[in-house]
Amino acid sequence: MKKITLFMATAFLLLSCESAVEGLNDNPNAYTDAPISLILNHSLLNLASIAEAEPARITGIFTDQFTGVDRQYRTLNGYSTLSTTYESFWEDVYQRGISQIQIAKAKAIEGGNSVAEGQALILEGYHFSEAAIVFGDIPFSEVNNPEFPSPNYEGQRSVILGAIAMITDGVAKAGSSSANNNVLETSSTWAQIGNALKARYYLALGDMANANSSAVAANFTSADNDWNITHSTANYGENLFWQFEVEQRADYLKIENSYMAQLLNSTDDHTKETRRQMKRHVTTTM
Amino acid sequence: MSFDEVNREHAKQGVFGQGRGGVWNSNASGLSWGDKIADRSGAANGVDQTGAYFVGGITGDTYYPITAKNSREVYNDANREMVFRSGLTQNYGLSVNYSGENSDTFISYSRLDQKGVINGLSDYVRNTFRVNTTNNLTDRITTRINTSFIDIKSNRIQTGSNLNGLYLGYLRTAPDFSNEDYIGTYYSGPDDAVGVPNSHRSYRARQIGQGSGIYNNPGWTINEINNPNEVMRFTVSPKIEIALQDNLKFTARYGLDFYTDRRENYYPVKSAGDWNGGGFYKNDYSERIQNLNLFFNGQNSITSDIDLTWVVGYVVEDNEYYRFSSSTNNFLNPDPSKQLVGNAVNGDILASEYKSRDKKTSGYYSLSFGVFDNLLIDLTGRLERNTTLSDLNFYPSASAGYVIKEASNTGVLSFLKLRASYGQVGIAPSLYINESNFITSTAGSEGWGDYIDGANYGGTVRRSATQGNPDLKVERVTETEFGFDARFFDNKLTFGATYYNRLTTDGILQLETPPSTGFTERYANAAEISNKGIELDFSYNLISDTDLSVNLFGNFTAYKNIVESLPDVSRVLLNGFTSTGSVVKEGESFAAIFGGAYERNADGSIATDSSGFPLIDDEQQVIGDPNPDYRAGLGANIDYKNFNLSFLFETSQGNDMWGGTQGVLYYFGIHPDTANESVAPVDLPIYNSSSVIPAGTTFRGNIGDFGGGQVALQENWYRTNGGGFGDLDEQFVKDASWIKLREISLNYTLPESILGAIRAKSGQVGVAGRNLFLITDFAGVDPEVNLSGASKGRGLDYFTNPGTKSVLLNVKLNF
Repeated sequence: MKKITLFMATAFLLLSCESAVEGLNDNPNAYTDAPISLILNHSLLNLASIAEAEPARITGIFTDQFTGVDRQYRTLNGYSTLSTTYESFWEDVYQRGISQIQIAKAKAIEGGNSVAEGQALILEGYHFSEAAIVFGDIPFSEVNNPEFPSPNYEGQRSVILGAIAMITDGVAKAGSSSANNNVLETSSTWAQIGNALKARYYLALGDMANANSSAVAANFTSADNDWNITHSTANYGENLFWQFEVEQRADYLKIENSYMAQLLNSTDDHTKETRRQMKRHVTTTM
Repeated sequence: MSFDEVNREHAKQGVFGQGRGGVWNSNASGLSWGDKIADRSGAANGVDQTGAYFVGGITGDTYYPITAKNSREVYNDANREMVFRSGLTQNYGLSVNYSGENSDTFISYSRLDQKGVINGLSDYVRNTFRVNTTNNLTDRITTRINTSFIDIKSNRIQTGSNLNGLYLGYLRTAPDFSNEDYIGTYYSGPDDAVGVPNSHRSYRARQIGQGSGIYNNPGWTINEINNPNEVMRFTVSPKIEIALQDNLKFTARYGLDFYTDRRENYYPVKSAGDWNGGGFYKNDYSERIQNLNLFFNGQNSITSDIDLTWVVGYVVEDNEYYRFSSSTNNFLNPDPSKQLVGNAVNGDILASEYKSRDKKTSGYYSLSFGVFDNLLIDLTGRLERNTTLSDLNFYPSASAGYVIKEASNTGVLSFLKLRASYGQVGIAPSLYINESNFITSTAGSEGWGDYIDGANYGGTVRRSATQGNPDLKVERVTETEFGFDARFFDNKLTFGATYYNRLTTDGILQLETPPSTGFTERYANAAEISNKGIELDFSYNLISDTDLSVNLFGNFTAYKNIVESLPDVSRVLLNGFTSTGSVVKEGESFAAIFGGAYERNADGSIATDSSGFPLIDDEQQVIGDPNPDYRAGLGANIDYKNFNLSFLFETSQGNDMWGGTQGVLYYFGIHPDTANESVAPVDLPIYNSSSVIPAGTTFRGNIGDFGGGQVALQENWYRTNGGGFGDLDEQFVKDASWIKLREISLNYTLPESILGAIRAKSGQVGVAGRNLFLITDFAGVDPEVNLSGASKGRGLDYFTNPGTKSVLLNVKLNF
């Protein structure tokens, strides 16, 4: 019995030595932090997730810009949806959008980089406004924080006003710096982009006076002022609508029978009324 | 040698042609909702010979765009024969055993050569060499070295939810399209003298090979897409045993298991999905697993009635893993005869790697007490240190066996032993889930396959959607077991019964979190899962004479596997799709099937809309349980002179399965159910439409009644919520109980007369069958097949490659 106890003691003594495994759980495959420039660049690229991917497709189907023809989109075209239908939309807005922008913003503030902070504020305002326009009430203050698994949903109007305030702050900080970058091409400054966005969101609120003054402040004089992402033929550099329709999901999404196609094709009086309604529809929903 | 066949297939209709709305159309999303084939004139198809055309690489036939589909030909059988074949497995082995005075050497070689049941590039060859030697160095020291080398070369056909998977293209192919000329030369018009060689022709909008496949032609999938794999595995395990005293021994055992695994996927130019320009993916994996086990063991008598056998040891396990991957997209040189990494411009050549190292050290003891010859008590303990946990963890176990009766031939009962045990094991958290990472990022909703890589835009990084958790604890599994073994009638009948209760606490799961928190998933010690069950087995020697013996045996198991606690999340997806999957959900069976369900009225009936079609609940629900109520087996072993016959039936009852394939075949109008023709008894409402099918009209489809009156289940219904792409997954969850003849074999032991003639010591020839018959109500596939293979998530069928049945011939000779 003594022998057993002795052997046991030895074996268990060997175990007390933590160095055998120490440090092995530090992931050698991934970084635990990244420079602000790369995160800000992601935040810009995420605009394509909103404007070219699932959010654009779903809203396009519901506003009859497109017709969902095939598979899941055919079901969606009949307005049959489940709560899971919007999961990737929500992820594009919050996890891949706002959270990353807030990380970049915090880094900008920490580094005293007010231009980067301003850019982040404008991008943040864009994401909140677009989401509020589509969904109505959404989480606004209680975001990007695991402490809020069931965040408070704040009113649509107050979210958009809050977002406009962010953009205003962003315009003041990023101001005259060029909004041309690795992702988006434009001749505009960040102030011009910010004001153009404000015009869009005031329009959504029906505040014509502020929409007008923001549009004037944006001072877009030519198409060069547009903020465009340029696509290439490199794999995964192509336009997402093209990837979706040509490479991945042929024939899911068409414009045949869409309201938009009717509008373009038709000349009768009835369509004039439709065209008026359509205008209102597009402005408040997109 | 074994001959294999597909054991169950999905049926396809041959009544209606490609198209939609009852009109033939080669460009209609791959649907078979076209015209009735029997109503066609039967003349040759009208074609347009003024423009582009295709010359088939298999038959040499020329294909022009069809302008009038007149032919009544149906190709379901020919298309099937193109895909399946009889598989053949050959297994040879040779082994030599040599015993010297103080040593013993065993050398063996075996080769397994398999041609799969799918035509084309589906094969598997395994060569195994083994050398084991044992040496008695002195009468107290013994060494043994076991070594092996295994080389596996294989090629597989892609499966599942995959544009390049076999079943996706094969099952969806319209009945009036021949897949035979899947490859050939495309000419853009009569003036095109050169054409595009290696063009890909497929039924869906590519009938003259005008572009990459939307789905691959199955001929392309099985013959042109190449998925070679080579695994080389080397193991060596030396061991030394030193007898320190008569009742005390020291053993040191080392094991090294090293393998390299090279997997390649080659998609030639014009393949479906991303691979219009071709793609070549190469992954090199290597892993080194080492373990060292040092232990003392001995025997002592504590008193005259109590004996002790004990082991005390120390183990180190060390596992190093490495992967290097490269991808080459949009080939510069489209020639498929060479498959080269780097055959593209810079932006289209990517590399990545992954490395990990995991270690575990543990000390353990095992004490076995024998008391009065009829009570055996085992006490063991294990103290572990893991890479991912800061604390040491101790796992105890204890078991006892008590023989109540071991006796004479008197009475009914000849032996009875009671057993009880208790034990704990721990599962440490996986590596690297302690921290949140920053990763290179993309834009787009990737679930659909389309995305923009930030590398094309100056590089982008985001914080990963998975929240790391530095505070994870060990996941503990505690098991209690009771049982008995009994023998009756002079040991003729044996019967055993076991009850077990296994409780997993602090189960580590990847939980979904609302994206507004900044993450979509987090790791947590979240689940408590119980698994309680019984296992019964029996064996009965019905006859045991010199010439004839008959033995019956069987088993029965039943369990309840319940997720007792999993707060804060709707469910955790194990495998499958977010629309329908196998999940962990509080209060439900483990791996329950979860998806879109009927909206129910208070009385449980299906809620319907004003025209009688079902409404769908906004929230997904549990719609099936893949766990069986019970499983059982019954077999027999019969020896008559030199012959041996044995067989085993198995069954699983009460398990559900999601027929995802069936749902999608409904959508496409290729499932035989959708080819029924019905006569409307009354005016029948049509789904999503204000019009009706007037009474007395014959229409393609079925008549349904969800409780709100009769409705027409026709194209409108099947292509939305009546089909697999709709929201109503519940309708495709079916009972998948099965009964199988798992195995039957007949063997003949060669008599002396034959053995003498071939100078063999012993020998046997035999024939056996595996899965020869299957009874199940689940249509289209063997319910033991699963979308994600052998995984925790189960009960899912979605274009999964089929199961097999086999006939085996074998010859064994010992010289």
